[in-house]
Amino acid sequence: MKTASIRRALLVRCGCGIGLALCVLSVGIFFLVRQSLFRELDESLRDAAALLSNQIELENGGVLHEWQEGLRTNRALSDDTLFEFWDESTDAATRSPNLHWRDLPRFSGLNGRPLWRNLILPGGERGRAVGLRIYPFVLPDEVERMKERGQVIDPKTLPHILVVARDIEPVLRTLDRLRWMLMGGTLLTLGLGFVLIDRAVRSSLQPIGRLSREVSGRSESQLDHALNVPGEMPVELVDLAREFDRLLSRVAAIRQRERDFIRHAAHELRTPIAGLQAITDLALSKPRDAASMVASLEDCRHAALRLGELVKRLSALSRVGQKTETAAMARVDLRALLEECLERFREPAARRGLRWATAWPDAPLGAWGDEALLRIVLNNLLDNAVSYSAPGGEIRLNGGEAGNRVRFEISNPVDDSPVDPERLFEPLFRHDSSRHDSVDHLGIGLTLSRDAAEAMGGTLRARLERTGEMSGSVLVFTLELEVNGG
Amino acid sequence: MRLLVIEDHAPLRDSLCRFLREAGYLVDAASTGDEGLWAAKEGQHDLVLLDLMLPGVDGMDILRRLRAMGNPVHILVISARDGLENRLEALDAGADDYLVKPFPLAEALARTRALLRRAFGRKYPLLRVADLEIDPGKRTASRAGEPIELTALEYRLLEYLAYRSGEVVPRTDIWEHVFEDGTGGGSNAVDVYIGYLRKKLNFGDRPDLIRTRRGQGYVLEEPEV
Repeated sequence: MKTASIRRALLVRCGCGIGLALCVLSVGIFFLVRQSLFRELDESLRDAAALLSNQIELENGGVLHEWQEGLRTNRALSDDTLFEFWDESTDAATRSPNLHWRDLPRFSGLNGRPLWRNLILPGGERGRAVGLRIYPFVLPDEVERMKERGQVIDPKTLPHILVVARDIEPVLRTLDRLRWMLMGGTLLTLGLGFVLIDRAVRSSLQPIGRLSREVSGRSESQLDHALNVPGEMPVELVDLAREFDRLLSRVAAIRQRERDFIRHAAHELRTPIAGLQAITDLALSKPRDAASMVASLEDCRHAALRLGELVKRLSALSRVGQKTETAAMARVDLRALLEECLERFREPAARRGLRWATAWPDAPLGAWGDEALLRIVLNNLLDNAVSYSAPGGEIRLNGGEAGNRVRFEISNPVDDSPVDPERLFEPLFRHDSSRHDSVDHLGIGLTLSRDAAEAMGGTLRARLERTGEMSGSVLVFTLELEVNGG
Repeated sequence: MRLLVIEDHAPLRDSLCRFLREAGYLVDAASTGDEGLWAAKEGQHDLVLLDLMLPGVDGMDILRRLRAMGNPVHILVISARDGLENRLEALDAGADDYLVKPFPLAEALARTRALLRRAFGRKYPLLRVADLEIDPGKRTASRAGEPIELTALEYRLLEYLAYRSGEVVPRTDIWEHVFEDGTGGGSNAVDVYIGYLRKKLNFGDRPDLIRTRRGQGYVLEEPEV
């Protein structure tokens, strides 16, 4: 498939546009000039016809063609103009001398009005002619004389047809020359226009080239750095560059997330691997009996199992932040679900001397969510409260509806807590920064829970409430979900 | 030599302690920061192997508190944090060395020996007093080229005196740095083992290298001619 080119498209489109405009302009000019020349010609024919129509006089009972006397003085009339009179009463024709014996076409307009026609002249040239009906004029003296003779003739009874024609070959040659000049001018302008447009397009597209070089010239380590947008960058490209920068910043966030994950994963794996390596180093450091080697192998197996569990959890962590496309949203009774989850935490809580205090409305507490995700969130919050609550403390659970939101809070007393409770949601964050030896608390439960809450269109927040200098603090987690979806 | 290992990850802590013990050192272990800080503050240890991520008091806190108290014990940090900023932070806070996990136990041992040498102002890996030569790497001793057979406790005692050669070592120091708890805490045990050492070192007509300072302790040094 041929790749589209902005330069070529602009060049073709601008060229076609300009070519069309030039053609329309040239045709317009041609026809204006043609119209003007023909109007001038028609006016000259009209003048000649007017002049000739006054040259027929009724005198002594006959028609006198006075123009025949005037031809000797009016050279323009005799040289350029062909004309012919027809007496309609006798069909006798009188011609201009330059017609010799040949006739012009005989025509006139309705009711004696002048009528113009293009025609071929008797000499074979192209010409234009005007035909009209005229009547001889009668001088007052002649009228008197006709009365004296007792023979008054009405000029209306002696109609004549006058056709005046002129050669239009010079006009047509002028128009031909004009046509060629206009065509040549159009082609020349179009050619010059293409060159100028090409240069303008190339110049206009240079910033795109610079932007392209800026993008393609960056090394792998700079992929997510913002573009260096030059100050003279056109406004259209600035927007493009900004959009590109926004894209890069999203890429940068993803890369940072990947780096963080790898760093966290490497960090988390180092200590168990160090333990495994220490066990094997110790076993191999000197000859040992079979029982000692079996004990070392047993330690290795435990360490490997823990590592496996850790890898499983790190794998879960790698999915934090991904959209939960498969969330099966439905209305869930939050209270019933909590009661169900609570059962498995009663015993560990009792072992630590923890007490429960619940404050629920009597009716079921409906929330719009995914039951499986909600179970993850509630289990993590309960596990967190039971594991990190100050010994002998009271874990409070309460919930209720407010508008279209349902709210669930779980709070427990803590001896010590981070200044910013939001840090609890950071991946792999642990308050005491220890691995705890057990793999139950890897610092990803709350991260996953917030992720799950957001996937359901809800929120999960934490806050620390100071209860007094002596009694420490209370850590409160608040889960908010919509009552109805959509 | 008494070492303190502060590490919360049991497999690593147990293996490291056992390896160091098999290398001839007395090793105390702590699994939490509070426990480790309490033990380190006692000042009975020649070297502390300190993890940074600990439950309770953080490893960096222990480091800073010990240095703030003027505790001169040498500290080898063992940590999963491998970033340059983490290493610089720990070294600037007073750590003497930094070992990133995972590491071979042999390397931890070599660094332990190096730090112990530094703790006693030694550069050369072998300890020499007159014609007595002690190799802490091989845990052997010889005099005038003749190898000397020593028990683990006798070797520990000789090595400790050799590290502090020319210096009067009080009996209490010997108890704390050489004897395991419960195996010999009385001054009589120290004297008995000094007697054993003398007997093994002064074979033939060799001059006695261990001198007794009444009421003060013992000195391992080249005898005056």
